[in-house]
Amino acid sequence: MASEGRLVWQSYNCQACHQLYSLGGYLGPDLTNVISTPNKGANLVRAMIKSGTKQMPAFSLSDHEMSLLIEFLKSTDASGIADIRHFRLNKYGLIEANEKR
Amino acid sequence: MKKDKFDIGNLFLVTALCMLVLGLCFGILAATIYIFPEFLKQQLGFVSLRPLHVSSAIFWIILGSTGCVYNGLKEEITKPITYTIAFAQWVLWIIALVGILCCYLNKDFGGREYWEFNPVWALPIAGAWFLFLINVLGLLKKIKDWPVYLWMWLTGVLFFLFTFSENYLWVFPYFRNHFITDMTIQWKVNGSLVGSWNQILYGTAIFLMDKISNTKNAGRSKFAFAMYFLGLFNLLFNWSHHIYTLPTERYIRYIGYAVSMTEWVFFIKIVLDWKSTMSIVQQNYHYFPYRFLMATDIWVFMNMGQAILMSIPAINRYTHGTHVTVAHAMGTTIGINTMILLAACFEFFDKKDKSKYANGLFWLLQISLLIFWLSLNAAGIQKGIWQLSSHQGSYSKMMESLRPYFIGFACAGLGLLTALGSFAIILINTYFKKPTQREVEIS
Ligand code: HEC
Repeated sequence: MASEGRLVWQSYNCQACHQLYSLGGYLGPDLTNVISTPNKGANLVRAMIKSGTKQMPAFSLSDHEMSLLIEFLKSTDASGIADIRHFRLNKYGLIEANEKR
Repeated sequence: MKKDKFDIGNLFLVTALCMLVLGLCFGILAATIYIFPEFLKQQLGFVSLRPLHVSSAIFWIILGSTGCVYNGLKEEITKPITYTIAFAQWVLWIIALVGILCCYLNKDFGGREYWEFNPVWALPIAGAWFLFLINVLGLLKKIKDWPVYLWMWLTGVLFFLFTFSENYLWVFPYFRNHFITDMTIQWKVNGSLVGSWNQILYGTAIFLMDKISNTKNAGRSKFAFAMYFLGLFNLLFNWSHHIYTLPTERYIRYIGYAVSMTEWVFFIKIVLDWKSTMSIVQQNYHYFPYRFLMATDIWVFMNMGQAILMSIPAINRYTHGTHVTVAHAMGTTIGINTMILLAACFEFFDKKDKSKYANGLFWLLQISLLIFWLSLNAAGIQKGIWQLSSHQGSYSKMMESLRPYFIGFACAGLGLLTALGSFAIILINTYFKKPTQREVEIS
């Protein structure tokens, strides 16, 4: 499911404006953890895709595509945390992730 | 006797120049969207404009690099280049680039980061590159005692083919399923692809230095060989520093970084050594090739300063995923790659132009690039501060606050369009004006 969902993400080129793990376009926000962010989550994703915004175009995804895409974003969310504030410098001055979410 | 009836090196260069013009136009449209979000939203949209711009810019660099290798090899050897193969290679490129640009216009995307398109078009590109490799190997076999640029060209050509294939692993679900592996491969590939054309272009810069000064100093200098080996190391290990936040092996990325910096120090040294051997007459005779190479040296220096800062983890936390990364990418593609390619075009097209107008364009280019680079860096730092602040305001407010920088960046973009576009048109004209010279016989 998630790997099919990645193909949906790719075919609509969400990456042109959005990042995953801070890698990608620079117009929209990073979406790595949008699913687990309080007040956001799958419903926000659905709403944003359907309605678009001033800057983001609306996309007409089929229900099937939409659920695949949500699966992809869920599995991306589960793979780690992208918020830079989650990373700290260790005693050697290198970047490390905090243990806890 | 064989005729260079296609004037193959220059055919690639002129095609590349056309892609430069297209890339600049798409770039300025995309930049406008940063200021007027609804500009062309229904017609093209940023979704199409971004890949149109990125791919055209990359075509400029890759096709330009190919042209430089063919032109360079032609001067190194007496054996004729296999023009049929080279022409077939050019035709495959044309098929690929027309296909790719049309797909973007039809909203058919590769959808991954950086240079991406429907994987179907990877086939003609891989085919073209394979033909290139055959041609290059066939020609290099005839040469003994290689100067450094021949090693660089061969390495660049080989690595490009290898990494380009790796870029399509995601087509197999196994790789797609492993998200972190997939992201890591994606960025490693991007890094190595950039590394491959850098090898070809640094090689070209050294080739040009020897050609312009009519010596063999640069191509045989110890520094140049050291730079080559560092570049090779980079091709293998570099780029890992871009993924600090991805859980990958940590030490290799710091070593990779140190190496890429040393490589640049050597480049600066090689150009300065060469400059000291150039007479005023030579500098004037090769007016723009000389000036563009000197400009490259300054941009290498600027980008190195920025990259050193960016590589410090404490600072990287602020710059990661921000426009500082864009400044780095565009600063190097325009400041280094494009300057070398323009030097090469002026030299290979034998364009002698010292007019005030052309000089004005040269300075417009340098100043616009500086403003462009500084605005992106400033926007990136401001976004970085937002990224790390504990009470983050909304994303759209933060983007709104970056508007003045985006205006600076778009205006500088217009300057770049004017300067680079005019240089491209001057050069394209020169190419089409001299058909007789293209019938040069080679024995
Ligand atoms: C043209 C650029 C663009 C494209 C393409 C785009 N977006 Fe957006 N998106 C934005 C911008 C900009 C925002 C921020 C909201 C705003 O102010 O418009 C946003 C916001 C969002 C949000 C809300 C995020 C949050 O944290 O509030 C989601 C979810 C989202 N987009 C999903 C998608 C998906 C999925 C796709 C692909 C089908 C996509 N976007 C394609 C520009 C884009």
